[in-house]
Amino acid sequence: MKNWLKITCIGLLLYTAVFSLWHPMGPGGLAVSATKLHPGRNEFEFKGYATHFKEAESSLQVYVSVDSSGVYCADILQVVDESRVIVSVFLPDTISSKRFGFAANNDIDGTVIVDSPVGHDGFQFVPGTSNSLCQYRVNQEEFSRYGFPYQPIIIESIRNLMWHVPMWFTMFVLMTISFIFSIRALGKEEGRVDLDHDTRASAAAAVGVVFCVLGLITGSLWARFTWGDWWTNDPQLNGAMVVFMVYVAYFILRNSTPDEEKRARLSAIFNIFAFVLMVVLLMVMPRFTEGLHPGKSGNPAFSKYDLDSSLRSVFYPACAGFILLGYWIYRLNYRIQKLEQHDETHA
Amino acid sequence: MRNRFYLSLALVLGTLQASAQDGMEEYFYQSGKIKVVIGVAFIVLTGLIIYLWRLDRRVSHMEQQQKGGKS
Repeated sequence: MKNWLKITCIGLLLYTAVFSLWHPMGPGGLAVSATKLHPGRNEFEFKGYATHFKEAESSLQVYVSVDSSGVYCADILQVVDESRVIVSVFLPDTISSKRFGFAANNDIDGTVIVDSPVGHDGFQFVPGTSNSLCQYRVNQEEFSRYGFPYQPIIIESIRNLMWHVPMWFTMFVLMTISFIFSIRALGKEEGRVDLDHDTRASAAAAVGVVFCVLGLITGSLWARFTWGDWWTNDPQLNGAMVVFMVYVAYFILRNSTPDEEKRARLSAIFNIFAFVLMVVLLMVMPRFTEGLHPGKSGNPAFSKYDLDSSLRSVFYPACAGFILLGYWIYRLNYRIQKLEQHDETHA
Repeated sequence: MRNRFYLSLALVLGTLQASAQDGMEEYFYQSGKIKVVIGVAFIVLTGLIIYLWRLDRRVSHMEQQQKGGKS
């Protein structure tokens, strides 16, 4: 591996480490303190995340939307700090719905929304509704917000994108290298296998398995705090587990075959099937099934809604950095294996 | 070498203990789940270091064999 590639790798990984943690979050609505709203005066606290309530106090407005009855403006009682404001809202006796949504609007953050804990489907303003009870502004789109996009529940853990996802991309690259060398090992000439290519294939697959394990563990931790469980029945999770076990089987097969030629031939054929299985389980299947990962039922990667430019600016370098790191470790592993083989034949 | 290993082990255990104090749930949820990110980055680094450690051991093994063969 060329030195400039190693330096690029280190640079990209440092960039990833710094910016995945340092880049600020975009504003969003975190929660409201009210668990129940009743006719009459309601007082509650609206909590934002990475908002500028204090700085933009003069333009701050808070709304309560009542499903099918309109939008009510809240009186601002006290702006506690940049992310907290205490408001009070008067709701008439006539409101029928029990579904509420909350939003705050100011000139810096635009509109931030709390999808209500009272069982609301989502905050929806219907402009021009006759029974709207206040003049409200919605300017969510007008603001080019600096920072990673705010998404409910995920919040800060969106930063995991730069750590968890590159693990899988790196694994894919390494398994592809392994696959190519397995084919080349078989394709030498009639009835012969290329042992050097076999060594390369197994060295790449070994490092690929390491990245697969890291992807599984990091995904599991992330899932625990966003989806609520260490393991969910998402097609991509189960597929990844199957792929992991198939590659473990690949190494068991290798270790249980003492004859070099036979081992190389058997494991090369197994590896080709393993790679095809990986592509089917991790890239094809998730497109056709329902799951929790973003971009389901269609492109399993990212649509423009999932990945904005601020995420891309860190995510792509992270992928490149980890892929280079994976390749680097694979080269080390391969060279060590070669030396070991050399030692064995000369011992 | 061994001392340094125990020192890093103690540091790791210390961090884990700190996280266990207020219950893991609360710890990871506070301030918008930034701790989950730290945890994930920690896992990635630890995993890679463990693998590099094993590679290192294989090289040491070869070095020792080479020494033994020469003498």
